[in-house]
Amino acid sequence: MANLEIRGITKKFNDTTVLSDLNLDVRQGEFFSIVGPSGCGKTTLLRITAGLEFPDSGKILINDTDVTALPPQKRKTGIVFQNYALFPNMTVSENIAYGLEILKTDKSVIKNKIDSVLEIVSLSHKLNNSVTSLSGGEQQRVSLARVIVTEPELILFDEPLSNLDYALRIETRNELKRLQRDAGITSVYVTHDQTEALALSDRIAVLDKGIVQQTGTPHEVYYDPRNSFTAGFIGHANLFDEINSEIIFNVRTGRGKFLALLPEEIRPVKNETDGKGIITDVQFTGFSTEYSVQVNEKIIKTLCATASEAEHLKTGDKVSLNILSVNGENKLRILDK
Amino acid sequence: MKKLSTTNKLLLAAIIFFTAGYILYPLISLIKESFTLPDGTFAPSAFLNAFSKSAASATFNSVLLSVITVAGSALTGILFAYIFQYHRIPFKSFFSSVIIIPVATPPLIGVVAFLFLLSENGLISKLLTFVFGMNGSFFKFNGWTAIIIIHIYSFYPMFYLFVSSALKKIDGNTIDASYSLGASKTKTFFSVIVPQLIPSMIGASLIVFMASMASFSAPFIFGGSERFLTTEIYSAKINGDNSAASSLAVMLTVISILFLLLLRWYRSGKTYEVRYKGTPRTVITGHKKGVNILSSVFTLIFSFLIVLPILTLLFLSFIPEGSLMRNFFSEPFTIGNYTKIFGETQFFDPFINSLQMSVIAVIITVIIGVGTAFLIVKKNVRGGNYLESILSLPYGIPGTVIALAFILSFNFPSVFTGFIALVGTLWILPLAYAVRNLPILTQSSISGFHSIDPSLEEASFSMGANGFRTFRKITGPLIFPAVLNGALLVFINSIGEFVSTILLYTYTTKTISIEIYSQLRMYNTGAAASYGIILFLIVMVVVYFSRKTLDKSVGIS
Repeated sequence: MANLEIRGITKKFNDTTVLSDLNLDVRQGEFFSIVGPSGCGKTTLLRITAGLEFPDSGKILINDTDVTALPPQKRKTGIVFQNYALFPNMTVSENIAYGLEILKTDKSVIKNKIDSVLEIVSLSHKLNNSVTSLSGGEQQRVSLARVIVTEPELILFDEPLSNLDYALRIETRNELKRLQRDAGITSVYVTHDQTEALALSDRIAVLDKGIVQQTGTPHEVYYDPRNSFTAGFIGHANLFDEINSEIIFNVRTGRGKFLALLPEEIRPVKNETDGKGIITDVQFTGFSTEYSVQVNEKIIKTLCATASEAEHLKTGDKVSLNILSVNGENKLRILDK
Repeated sequence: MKKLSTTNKLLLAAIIFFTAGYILYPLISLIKESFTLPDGTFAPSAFLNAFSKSAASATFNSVLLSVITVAGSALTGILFAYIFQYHRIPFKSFFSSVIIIPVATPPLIGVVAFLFLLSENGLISKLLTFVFGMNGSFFKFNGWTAIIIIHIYSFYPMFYLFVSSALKKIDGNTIDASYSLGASKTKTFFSVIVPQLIPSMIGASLIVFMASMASFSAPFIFGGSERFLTTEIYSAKINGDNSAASSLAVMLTVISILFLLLLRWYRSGKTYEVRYKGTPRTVITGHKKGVNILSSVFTLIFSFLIVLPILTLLFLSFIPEGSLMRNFFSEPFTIGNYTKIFGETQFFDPFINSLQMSVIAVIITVIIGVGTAFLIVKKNVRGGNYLESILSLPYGIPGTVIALAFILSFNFPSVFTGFIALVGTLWILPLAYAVRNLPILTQSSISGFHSIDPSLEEASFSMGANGFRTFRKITGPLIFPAVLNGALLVFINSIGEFVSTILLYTYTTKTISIEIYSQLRMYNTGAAASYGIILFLIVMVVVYFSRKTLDKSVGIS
């Protein structure tokens, strides 16, 4: 178990700044996610942490030791890759034994460790299979087993679930969470999927254009975003400028500020006489229904629990919009930028 | 199997006729001859009689030479594949084209170029004499050393091409994973990278082994008293001992076909294809400037060495006739050699012959190759896989053997010769070229047909187009690149062909390669060099136009 400190990391590729003066603290045993759109620099940050890339300036500290100049072999970090990166020329057990052999572990110990880690990831029956014969989900579990068996100080996950299909992704996500909690290994998890980050993490850092936009618990980044990027990326919030806030909700934001409302915080109500909005799209997904409402050229996304919906709205209906309080607070979210 | 139309039946009949007449019948004649005593009686002991001590040592030498060639080519080819994949080198694509020049260079040109560069009377020797006044005759470039150097020069690009494409498929993440699991660079190289290259290295080894067994030009020119199978077959034939020549030819063919079968078996076998979504990451290490500079300098020197023989040829092509024995550095440059070739009919005729025969060979291979591929893939004819196997057989039959088999089969009129003695006519040469190169065109057409999504043709049919229109508008244009690429390769292999030509030509059917050889015999350095340069340029122009797909195809004489 270890803590990780990232101090003032800057990285440029040719003339493009990928990361600029970036700081993060990951505590012992924590499951920490870095979430952001593609190209935000999250994978580069992960590779710098692993020692696969080197920063132009800044420091990486693991357990208060400066590892910035250390090669990947010396860092005791394990990586779980998006495309699994299993050695195709080896079997399942050979893949898992690889790291242990390098640590000069005793043969009998290796065998025991392989057996127990395969049990953890429920792949005992595939011990001697070639890794190329496994399904995507199985390959991902082998790649996780290969890393945790060496008991690293830190596990780095590079979008490990994005190549799995939806049902498998949810299943593997739950398993991952359980494994990490049981093993208690400090984990840094990189993803572009905010739902995944919210479900798995103790804390989340939201990254955009190489800059940390906000760090906090899942609840904090979801309900208390510090800026419009976090609000939009994490909660798919609707943003209203000074004028629209005034017209639609009669809220004064102040000059140049934004009102941010999550889709589930806005309730469309049928109002054929005074309704300012028109329903342009209805998407029923079972438990909830998503309405798109157009007001003054602006499309507003709203989300309602289907069961609570007394009247079913249709495309073309005129509606007025009410603000709901979902989080039990009556404070409106006003953002500076 | 779909019902065949009359046209398709005729096509099938033509292919079967060709296969029987020009592949199977000559091979059978060859085997029969190998069991015939010099007095014409059939006796199994004849085969064994041919295996005197000299034949055994020729077999041993050929195999040893091939093993050394494979090892040397592997070292060179893999080294450069690795450097080009993982190091930063300026003008990378330019240099990667330069270092595969030997793969397209006709073998005879390579041999002649090395002769002019390194032999006792070669450029280097003369240069030393000229500059330092040294006696250059201490230079000995012949025998095993010469043959091995030329073989490695000609065949290492095979390893380079195979291993490069395997390296490109290795996922950079597996290398990173290995590092982060604590493995050193060396451990990663031997445990993760090398095992993933093994299938391609085996493939290249088999091809280079076969090519080296079949190689004739280098042992012929530099072999001296050393015996090799191909040169022994040639001299037995020239001495009129058909039986001994046939026995040796059968021996050589059996070894080659064995390797061909190994190759086919290996190709159908496993490769490390990993199924996953997403793209593998390609890595270029390049943290260390020193390593990159070293690699770049190394590449530059090596590329220079690769083109040096060709540059020598170019230089000598501008030297006046008959100056080989003199110190030619003081002589003025002349374009006399070229004007003679283009000005006088007797010197220009070989070009006409070579072009004519190569074009005929290309036409034959296109008709048979595309026809076979069409019938096998699209019409699913019964026994198609047998037909394909027989048509790929010549890939394992050395040119010397095909020429010998043709002589034995076609020196009297038969149904396959159009009822004349084919030996001595112009037709026997393009037929030999066509048979040798059939596997290339058949394979590239088959993969061309396979790569077409059947639903495209179904879509065309459903819109009311008939079979002919669909072929002309949809299927034809889609397989055209594959066929063109194969055809150009056949052309390249035919235009500089020397191995079977030297056994089959007559005075009126002299080709460029034969002309180069006879000018060489007459010590007309300038003429031989300028023929060589013109042939080299023709080949390079053709290669330039097929460059994009050349890397994928494998064909070498």
